[in-house]
Amino acid sequence: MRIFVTLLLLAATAATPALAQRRGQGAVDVNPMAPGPVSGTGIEMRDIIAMSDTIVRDLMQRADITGTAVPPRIILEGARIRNQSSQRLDTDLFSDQLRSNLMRAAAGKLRFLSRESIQDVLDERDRKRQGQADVGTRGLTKAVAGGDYRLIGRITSQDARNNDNGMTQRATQVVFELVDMENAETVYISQPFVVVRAQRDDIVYR
Amino acid sequence: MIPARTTLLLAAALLALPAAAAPRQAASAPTPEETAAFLATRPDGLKPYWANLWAGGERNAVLNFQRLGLAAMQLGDFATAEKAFDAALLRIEGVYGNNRLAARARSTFAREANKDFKGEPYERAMAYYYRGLLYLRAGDYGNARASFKNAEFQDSVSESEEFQADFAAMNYLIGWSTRCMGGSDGAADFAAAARAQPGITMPPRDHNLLLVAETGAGPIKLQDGALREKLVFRRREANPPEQQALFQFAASGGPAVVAAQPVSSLAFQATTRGGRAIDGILKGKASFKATTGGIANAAFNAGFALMGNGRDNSNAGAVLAGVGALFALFSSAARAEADVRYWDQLPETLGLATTVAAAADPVDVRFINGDGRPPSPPAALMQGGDASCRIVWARSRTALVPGDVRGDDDRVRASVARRRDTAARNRQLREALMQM
Repeated sequence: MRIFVTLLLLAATAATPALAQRRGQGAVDVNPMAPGPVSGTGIEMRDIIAMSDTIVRDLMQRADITGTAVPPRIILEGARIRNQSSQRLDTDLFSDQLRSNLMRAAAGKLRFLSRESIQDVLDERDRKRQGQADVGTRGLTKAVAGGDYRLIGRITSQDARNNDNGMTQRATQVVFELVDMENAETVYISQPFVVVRAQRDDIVYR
Repeated sequence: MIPARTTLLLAAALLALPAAAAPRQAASAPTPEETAAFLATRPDGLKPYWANLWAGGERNAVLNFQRLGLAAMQLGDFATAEKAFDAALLRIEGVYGNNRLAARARSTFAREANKDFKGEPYERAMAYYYRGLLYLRAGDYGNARASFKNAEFQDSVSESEEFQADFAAMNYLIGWSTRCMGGSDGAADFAAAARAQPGITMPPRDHNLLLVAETGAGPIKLQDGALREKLVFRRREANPPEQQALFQFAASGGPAVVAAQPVSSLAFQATTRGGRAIDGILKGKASFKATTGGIANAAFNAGFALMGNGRDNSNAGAVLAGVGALFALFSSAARAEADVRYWDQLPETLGLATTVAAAADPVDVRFINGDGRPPSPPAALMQGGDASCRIVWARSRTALVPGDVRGDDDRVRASVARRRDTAARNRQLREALMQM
């Protein structure tokens, strides 16, 4: 009986929201594909991973792109993913996910050009040709590699608010295109990724 | 048969339940040694703002981050300014769910000032505006555009909104950012700015330099009404804005002097929604107080009238009088005072202009005063962007304002700080600040 009462006392004093809040919340691992304890109305990491996964699957099924005898070269930069939405975003999150997953899935069927490193590449080429550095182990080329395709994207959004109850809603759309860099043809366009989320504050802020 | 000792323990356990659930008073203030150690690594010019943030806790964190951010912009510490505005916007965009202080602020019996500050719509819009300017400086035009879009949205989200999207400066800046991103001339956004503020025109295609001038001192907040329940905004009439902002260039193809066109007034932004908005959150409290006060008076009067009618009615009269006393108690306990904490660094007027200038062109800014005093130099100046989209931002008034949060209620502040749940949140904030 005494044990029971002691447990009851412990439960009464420990399992309360006030005490839980007083103890704070340590770092916890969150499944990147699931909604986390903190969510908003905008694009989240799980959305970016899902988009990347869909695009990789789409492109891997396109024999005209990934099944050619000579793997095409693709340019993919965060700077060419236009954020026209009302959410502040680092577009490198999209480009890094895509580049990494595409390279791993393609296993050599696609090649990627790092135009973000172009200045470093040009500087190193100069050093090699001026004798400040040796030629390395892979030989010299006449010029840096040209691109066959560029993957571009656009993020747009529309915000709305219900003035009666304070509920805010944001609809975000993301579309990617693969553009032929010789003839400007769009050879692939992703399905439009649409995310619509709504939230309401627990307190009225005018 | 349960022994007496067990009964006592059970009773103690039951008594402990509400006591444990209720927030107790707790000391939340950092020690002087902790404060000194924290401030030792901060630049001298920003120490007062970091100190306010450190001591002010989450309740004033948004306001203190905004004050720190704007002071850092003036001092040229743009990395700190970006982090400060990001932290403020993170909290502004955050949603309260089952938050104890939010519940208290909704309560009829607690002051509105209990809640964490997020600011009025014009203050939230200005936080996004400054973050947008910092993005323009860094050449990140997509996020600049997103910031200005949020600024415009904040301006139109108060309850019973009538003046939708009337913050012309934000529409203009959305258009400019769109143009800087390439692929669009931003015509729709410049047109929206012109609808809100007639006289605004779309900048010529070859213009590559945006000039932003902030003049005057922004509105202040006051309590008004019999119960101090009404939030009102006042222009600082005794301290009018400068009449003109002139950007002077060493001639290199463009005009030598460009005057900024006044585009938006913050006092206008505040007052066109402030009066109505306060009805949204405070009307319930004010109405409740007026209603219960009326019920109390009516019950008192009816009760005493019945008591005076003789013995048969005296009991009923006493009950009614008691009900009246109860309602009077509720009425006197209601706290309807408006929250008048405000962002005291804001300007009164936003002026804009564009021109053509080479990246190497030095720019000199002068503000023309209307009282015959000589033109004054800017208190703050920021330049940035890239060759195709430069920005020059200047302020006539200093953002290095002294003191702590203006309009704060010291009693509420002390009361909130003593709450144990507040202490935990403030401790987490201080831990986060040490990492910044």
